[in-house]
Amino acid sequence: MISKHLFLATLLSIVFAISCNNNQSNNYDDTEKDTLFYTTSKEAEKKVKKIFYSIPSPIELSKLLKKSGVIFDKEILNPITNYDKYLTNQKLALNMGVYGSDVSYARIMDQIQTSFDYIIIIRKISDKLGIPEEETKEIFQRLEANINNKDSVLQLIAQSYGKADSYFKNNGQGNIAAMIILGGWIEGMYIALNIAENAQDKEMIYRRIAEQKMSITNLLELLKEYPNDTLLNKYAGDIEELKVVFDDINIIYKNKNVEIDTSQKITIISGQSTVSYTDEHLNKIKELVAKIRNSIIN
Amino acid sequence: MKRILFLVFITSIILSYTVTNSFSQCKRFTKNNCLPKLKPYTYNGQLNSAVLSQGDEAYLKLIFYPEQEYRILVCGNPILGNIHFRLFTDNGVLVYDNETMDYLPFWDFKTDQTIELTLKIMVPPASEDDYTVKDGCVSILVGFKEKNNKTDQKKN
Repeated sequence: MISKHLFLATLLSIVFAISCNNNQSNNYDDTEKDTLFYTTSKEAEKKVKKIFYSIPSPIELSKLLKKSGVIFDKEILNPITNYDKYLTNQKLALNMGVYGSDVSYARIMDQIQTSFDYIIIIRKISDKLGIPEEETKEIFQRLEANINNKDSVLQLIAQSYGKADSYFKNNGQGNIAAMIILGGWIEGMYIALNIAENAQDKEMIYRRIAEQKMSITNLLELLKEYPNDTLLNKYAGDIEELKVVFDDINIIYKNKNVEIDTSQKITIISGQSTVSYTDEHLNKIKELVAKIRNSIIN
Repeated sequence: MKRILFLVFITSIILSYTVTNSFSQCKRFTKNNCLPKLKPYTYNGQLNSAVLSQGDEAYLKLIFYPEQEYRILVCGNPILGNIHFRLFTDNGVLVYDNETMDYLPFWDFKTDQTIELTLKIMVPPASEDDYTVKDGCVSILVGFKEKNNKTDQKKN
């Protein structure tokens, strides 16, 4: 009789624990569940294949723009007055990404006052999204204090987005983290597409835009990790449409070589690549990016 | 019977707490043990971390530009042992294997063209003598910095 009770007790414990975790994990993506909730008995050992998706940060893209000799154009940024329109967490997250790209571009182009104004808005969004103040307070204080130091500002912007990314991923809101990444990527593309015309080295910018063929697959896979999020599903459809254009762009590598510089302790990957794209591709990308960006910022 | 129900309750609380707490443990681990190892590179702001078990594999696709130098850091809880990682190009050519560097947890590199690399991470399997499979946090972080012109000049 006692052993029967013990068996029931154990069974109930497991069921209760699993049900608690299922409630908690409804917002987690399936792959996270796979890695977290399987048995640890040796007999049940199996290889779990977790796949992560990552895309280059807006800061990297902004640095490339600066190198191509672009002129700062404030008109193309998402105005900070739009902030009042963003009433849902999804809209706030998408535009936190957008403003992140805007501030990276502004600061790299030495627009200190504009950068400062955008940092204030990003801080407001961070608060509204519920990121605890203790997570970001120090970073924002340092941002405001070091606004004149470009490298510090860029480092701190990256850190603040890193904090937001880890906060949402660790709290079962990976979909919100994905929205920040989506907003940042779209705005980075929008800026690049709209300033290329007047750049000294416009071919370099166009080439980098065409090379986003590599990023778009990762971005799409990231969005698809949250099939229950209606808004992300909608944007996945839009990105899919954009991907069709990128699929037509060809990137060919030749003579890839890997060598190690022992004095600098760094590996150097070298070779040649050809990126084949047309004005038609760029115009279509520009049109679709503007359409997605418009639905994000309005 | 009351005692048994009490046991059920306590066991349930412990089990659910242990599992749901994994994420915050991973967050603390990344903050304290991994982020400092990225310096002097700037963190790209995207966290890729999970609680993995012995024998697990994970993959990450990454894109790198020619204007920067990069550090890829694979930071695992020491309980998992030496994390083995390899990087491959889009056509499957191996460009780095940390086994050749005594499982060094990071790799610094630069490229003269935009490239996509796939990072494959392998957590060492449990040994024959182990009765259970251990699990722990594994974080993958990417940092970047301005290209060091010295190495470029030297190369040219």
